[in-house]
Amino acid sequence: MLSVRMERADRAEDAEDDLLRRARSGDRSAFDRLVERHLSAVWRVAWRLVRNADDAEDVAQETFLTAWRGIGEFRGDAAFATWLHRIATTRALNHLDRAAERMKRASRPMEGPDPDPAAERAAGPREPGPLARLESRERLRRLAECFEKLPAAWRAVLALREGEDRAYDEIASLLGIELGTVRSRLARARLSLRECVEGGAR
Amino acid sequence: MSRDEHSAERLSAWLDGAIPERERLEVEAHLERCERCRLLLDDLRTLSADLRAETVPEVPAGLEARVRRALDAARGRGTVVPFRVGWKIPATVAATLGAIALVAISFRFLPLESRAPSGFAERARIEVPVETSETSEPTPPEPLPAPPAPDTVAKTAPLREEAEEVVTGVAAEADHEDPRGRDLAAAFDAPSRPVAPAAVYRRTIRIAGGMECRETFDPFDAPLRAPDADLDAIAGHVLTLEGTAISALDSPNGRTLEVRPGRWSELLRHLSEQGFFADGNPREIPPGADCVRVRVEIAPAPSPAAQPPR
Repeated sequence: MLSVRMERADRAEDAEDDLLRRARSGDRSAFDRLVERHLSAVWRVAWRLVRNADDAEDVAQETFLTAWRGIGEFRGDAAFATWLHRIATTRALNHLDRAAERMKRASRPMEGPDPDPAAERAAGPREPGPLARLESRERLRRLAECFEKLPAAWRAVLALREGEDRAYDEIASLLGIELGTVRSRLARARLSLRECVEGGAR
Repeated sequence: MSRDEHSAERLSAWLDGAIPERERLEVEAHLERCERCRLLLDDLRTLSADLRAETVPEVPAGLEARVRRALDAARGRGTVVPFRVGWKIPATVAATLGAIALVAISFRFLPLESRAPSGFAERARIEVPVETSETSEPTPPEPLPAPPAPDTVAKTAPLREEAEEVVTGVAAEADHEDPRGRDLAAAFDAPSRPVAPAAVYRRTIRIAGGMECRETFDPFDAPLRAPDADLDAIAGHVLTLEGTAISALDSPNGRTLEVRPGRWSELLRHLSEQGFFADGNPREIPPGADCVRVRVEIAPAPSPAAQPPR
């Protein structure tokens, strides 16, 4: 049974290589097949970052357009899916950056990626409060609200870690950041999220 | 870093199983005696479980068709597709920038003797004569506006709001709808809508990467130039190098490319193969630089008279 599955996987890989080869030479129908195969994964990562169906659709579309335009340069050093993920992540971050610009005057953003350590020390330690005590529906409502307030860079690491179950080194590669930055951003994002959810997501 | 952040970073990494063995043992020993940390860990676990339990909506029914339509509307693979975004700019600015773009410029560049990266070292200097454009105003020759550093670009990003306030009198070809929203590519690529250079490239578009650079180093003093290059394809190549390509503000024919120092020689080789010329030898990348930045531009083709003697 296992060997049958492996053969199927090999065949799928071969087929993907063939599609990539044809797409690289300009075969649109081959690229359409790749879109069909990878649309769901691209959609998922787009939605997890932007959390809005309209924006996620834009991100997915831009991702495939970018991939089509750049596929001649895709040499297969990484898996095609990884390459698409990287494009989708970047596109989603662009959307979030633009949205943040638009929102700048409307509301005060949450603490940014580089908070002032002196101000933090002055504020003193925060009291922990187990989130599990909150009624789950209310907690999830707050969580959704709070996630959207996070800086884009933090959303990205959190979405890739929790939503896509990506390892730290994969996240570092997808976002082009250091491993230590992944670790610190994840922690800061989680801490901010916790504080916001506890505070009731004003 | 605050105390909470320090604890959270270790606990968060512990939760993900992304922690070295020695640190893991330290965290677990610490958890034994720290009630506060256990509570924090409980919260992090709850958040993690909640986030993982979130469901992503199904792929919208029409999305695949929409992507195909966008691809149909896009030009062929690897072609240069200008970013026709909806900046509306005053006529005076449009006219000035248009004139700058149209007036052929005087510049000096040096052809590559070799296609290898080291080929940047040996070259012969040639002069490109000033050409006059068809514009009626006698605009003095100006150099192409150099692409600004990404930092500068980021600061000037909210141009759109300011520009739209002074839209009266904008030249017709500079006045386009913002195509964001539905079929982006169709709006970008509609061939029947020629766009004056001045109306294009009015905002930063990060094409790839998402790198963050603390210390960026540019080994050249001036942008690299090629008479005829496919900037989008080069941006695509930068993707494969896990770098970032940025369309430079106010430089319709330019991109700023950033890669990690380890990828620099690959990028340089690629640019060399694409016919990009440099005005000098690349400087050595200092050890502190975590990103290498290079600006590339499509330069006007040299006139036959300017060909180097054979």
